Amino acid sequence: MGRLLFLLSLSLLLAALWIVSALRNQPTVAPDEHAVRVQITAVAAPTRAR
Amino acid sequence: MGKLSSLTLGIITAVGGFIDMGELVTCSQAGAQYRYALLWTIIVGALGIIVYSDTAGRVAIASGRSLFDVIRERLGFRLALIPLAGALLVNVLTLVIELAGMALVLQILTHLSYLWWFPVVALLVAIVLWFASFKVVENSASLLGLTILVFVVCALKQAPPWGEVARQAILPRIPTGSGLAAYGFAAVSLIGAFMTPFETYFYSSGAIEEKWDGSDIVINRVTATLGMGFGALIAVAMMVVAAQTFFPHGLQPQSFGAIRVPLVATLGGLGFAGFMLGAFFCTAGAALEVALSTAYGACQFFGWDWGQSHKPKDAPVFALWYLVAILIAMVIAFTGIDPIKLTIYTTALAAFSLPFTFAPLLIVANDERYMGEQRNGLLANIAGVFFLIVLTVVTLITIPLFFMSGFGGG
Repeated sequence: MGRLLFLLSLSLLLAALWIVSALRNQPTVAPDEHAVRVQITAVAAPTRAR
Repeated sequence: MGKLSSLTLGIITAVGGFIDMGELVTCSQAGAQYRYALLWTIIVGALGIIVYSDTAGRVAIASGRSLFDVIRERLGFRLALIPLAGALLVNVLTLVIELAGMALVLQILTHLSYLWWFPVVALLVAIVLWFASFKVVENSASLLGLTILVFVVCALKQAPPWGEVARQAILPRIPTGSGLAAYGFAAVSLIGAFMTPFETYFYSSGAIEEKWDGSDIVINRVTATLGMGFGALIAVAMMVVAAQTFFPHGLQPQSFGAIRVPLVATLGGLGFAGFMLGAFFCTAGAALEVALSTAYGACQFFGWDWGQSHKPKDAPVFALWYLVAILIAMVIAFTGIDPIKLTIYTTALAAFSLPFTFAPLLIVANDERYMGEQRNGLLANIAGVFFLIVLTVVTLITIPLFFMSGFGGG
């Protein structure tokens, strides 16, 4: 019974940590990713058109 | 024919196993920041891992025993604890970055934070390890991960100045304005990424799992050489692609998503699909291997039953080790640490720990009691000692470079 409670509390703690960390980490397009996409696509476009 | 197909599969597996999150991040950043000036690290890293994988495979074949079992007996319990502790620490951190790599691919697809996906991919890895055989674990992810060859296609299409690429691989020219400490730290991280200790332990344990014997000595050497060699070619392509696209614009891929942009810009949908599948399965393959490598090391050292050929109920401690490693990796990931920064730090730590892994291996490979006729010859010893000296220098400079480069940031 004690072991079960221990495992349950551990799981709950891990789940809480998971949710908090995931909520705090909202994915956005990082600035460098955006800049890279714009500049590289501009360079690559004429090559592809050929 | 059986040997030939086994050899082909072994080579393909080694190629897939060579490329993981460490290479994806460090090669892209190196190409972006230093153009071709760090290509030499691929040559050093690939030759080093070929030498030590071949030696580790030969130890397994000649002694019929696992690496940590022999190392503990040869060095004694206390001294052998050092390579074990180093391997376990680096393995757990490597597991975090490989699982993060899988989750980051899903983040790109779904726009949901990779942290939401982290437990999902961790569970997936745990389920595969629990139910799948060694062959499935070893081959499936690596085969699917071969779509990472899209980097090679992209490099060929970009038609870089190959003469300059070859020249700088031998005589690097550091771009003006680059700090020497940051360059040195990047070199150390790359060598750590190519020679991650888990690869050697996994390779050696795999030789035992697959029951290699004296007739497999040649297969061992060819697999290690061609497999790691082809893997190195993919790493060259990764660095060249970054050098061709990021470097001229002065851009640095700080996020995982940015690594794919040159592929998409050059190859369109093919580049996107190849990257997503390749990155997911290469990191999945590495996550499976590193989790197993952790369990192998601990169980071989302490003498517990081990091996993927056992069902979990027949080797419960072995299963417990990889499950606990996955659990610890989840806790570390949930602290919210940046996976790209963690990759750089982990590869640097791996580089720091390398002599502690390879010195005991060389000692065992020279002991006739374990090796018999397969004892290291002159050539193997020259190569082994040369790389050990290189790695010792790497160990000595890693920490000073870390601080001098502003915590690896340049």
